[in-house]
Amino acid sequence: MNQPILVCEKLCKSYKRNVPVLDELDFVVEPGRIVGLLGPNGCGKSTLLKLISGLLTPNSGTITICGEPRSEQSNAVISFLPERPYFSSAMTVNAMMDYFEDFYTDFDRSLCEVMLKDLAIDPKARMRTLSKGTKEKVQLVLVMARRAKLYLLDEPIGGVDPAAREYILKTIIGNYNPEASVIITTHLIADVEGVLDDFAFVDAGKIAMCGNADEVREQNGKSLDELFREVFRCSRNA
Amino acid sequence: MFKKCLKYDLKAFAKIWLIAAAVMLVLSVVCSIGLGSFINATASMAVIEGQGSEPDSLQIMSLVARMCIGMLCYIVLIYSLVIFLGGTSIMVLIRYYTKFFTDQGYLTFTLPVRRSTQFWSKAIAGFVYTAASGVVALISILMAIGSVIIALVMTPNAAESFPIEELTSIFTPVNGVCGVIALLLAILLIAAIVFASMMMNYLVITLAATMFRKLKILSVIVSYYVVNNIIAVPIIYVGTYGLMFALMFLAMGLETMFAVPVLAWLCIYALLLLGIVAAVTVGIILANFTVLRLERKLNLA
Repeated sequence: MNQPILVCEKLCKSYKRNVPVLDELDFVVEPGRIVGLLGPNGCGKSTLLKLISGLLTPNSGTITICGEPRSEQSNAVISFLPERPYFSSAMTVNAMMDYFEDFYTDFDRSLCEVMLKDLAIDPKARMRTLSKGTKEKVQLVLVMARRAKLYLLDEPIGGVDPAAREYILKTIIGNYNPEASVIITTHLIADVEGVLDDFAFVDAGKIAMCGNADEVREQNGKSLDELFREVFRCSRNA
Repeated sequence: MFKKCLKYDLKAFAKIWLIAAAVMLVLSVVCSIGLGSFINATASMAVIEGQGSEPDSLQIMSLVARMCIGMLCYIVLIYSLVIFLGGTSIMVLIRYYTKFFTDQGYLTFTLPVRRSTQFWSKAIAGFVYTAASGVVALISILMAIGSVIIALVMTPNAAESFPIEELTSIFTPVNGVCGVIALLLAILLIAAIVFASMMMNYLVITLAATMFRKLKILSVIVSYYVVNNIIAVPIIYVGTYGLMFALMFLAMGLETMFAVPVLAWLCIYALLLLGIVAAVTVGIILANFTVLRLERKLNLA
């Protein structure tokens, strides 16, 4: 059996003393899976992705990527899409492609150019001239044009129009390497539900429920969206 | 990867810095001409007064006009030098903060590049631009002094009233090979002090940005004030500048104290080298603290 792409063990993170955002969280992602990391605001989804990508330092616990402890070299196999644009507003889309090509050996420039064309984005445009939604599309295209092993997508469809949303989801399914895994965080569960293989509900810094999306739907006779509403309504009332 | 990081860090400033340096040099040329004209007018007046004759009203009006222009040029030159040098330092620090601790840090720290490599690339690029700005400022100052000398040389009999020989000595080569070696070491000492100061600034920014989640810019300013007083004043400034002053006094007294001048020069070299080693060591220690902080305590929330 293939080794997991990602293993998080007893991961703890708090920004303030005695207020844990993640509390001994255990999380495993197998290769070739699209996993939905779902949960209410402030439950620790983005914090988990930032810990995996190395932007935050855990208070305790371990993160293993492709069998190796997380390090700067892990970034060579992780493609991270943050929820906010991270490019300098003075850069052009072409300059961003040059940047990715220089630093990531797995970046496929021709694929990136095709996707930009599909979304009618001018490669000569400067970031400051683009709308918020278009900036997000550019960033997503760059991230998905890498042949990475683990894609971390933090709210990839939150700020784009429904038409682009469909293209983005198709892009996520169509462009990632079948041996790679994708972790998506979102509130728009109904929109992404169709592309998910697995899911994990995060609540109060722990995995409240996880499993195979199809099996859970079959067992409960409910969509993930409905189940999400039920689980979190229950956990709030408890 | 280091070469790639350095390429982007150098490219980031290239355009704006080249424009600023070109503007600085053009301003220096214009101001030097204005200063030269002022000195020429003042020297001519002094010569006329020295000959016992009274200047006519036209000469006085011309002198006043050239004095005003000369003063304006002097003020513009001084302010533009301060803005140019200060602007370069601020630009370097803003880039460091922006690339590491704002949203752009999401990209910087998800590149497959070691944090120490990222840090040194920014530090070296910043040092290159600071040093280049120092060279441009030196050229501007030498141009201004040169224009003053030319104005005095062009004025008949001005040597009697103005110390032209002392001014021209600035451009004459330093006291043989020993002097040249001392001058090079002194330049290296200044570069080492600049390096140590830059490393302190990076440490302050890193400490503030990794310790405080809110009001980061305010905390950078407060931390700068605190660390500057705790680290910079006693170690960098008192240590290295004190050493430089001590050197100057020693350089004056040693040649008369030692029967063999070579010994005097060797003492000067040893002290200069000690200053360089001290400043570089302090800089490297501060840089290592910064890298350690970036590796262990980075929290880009």
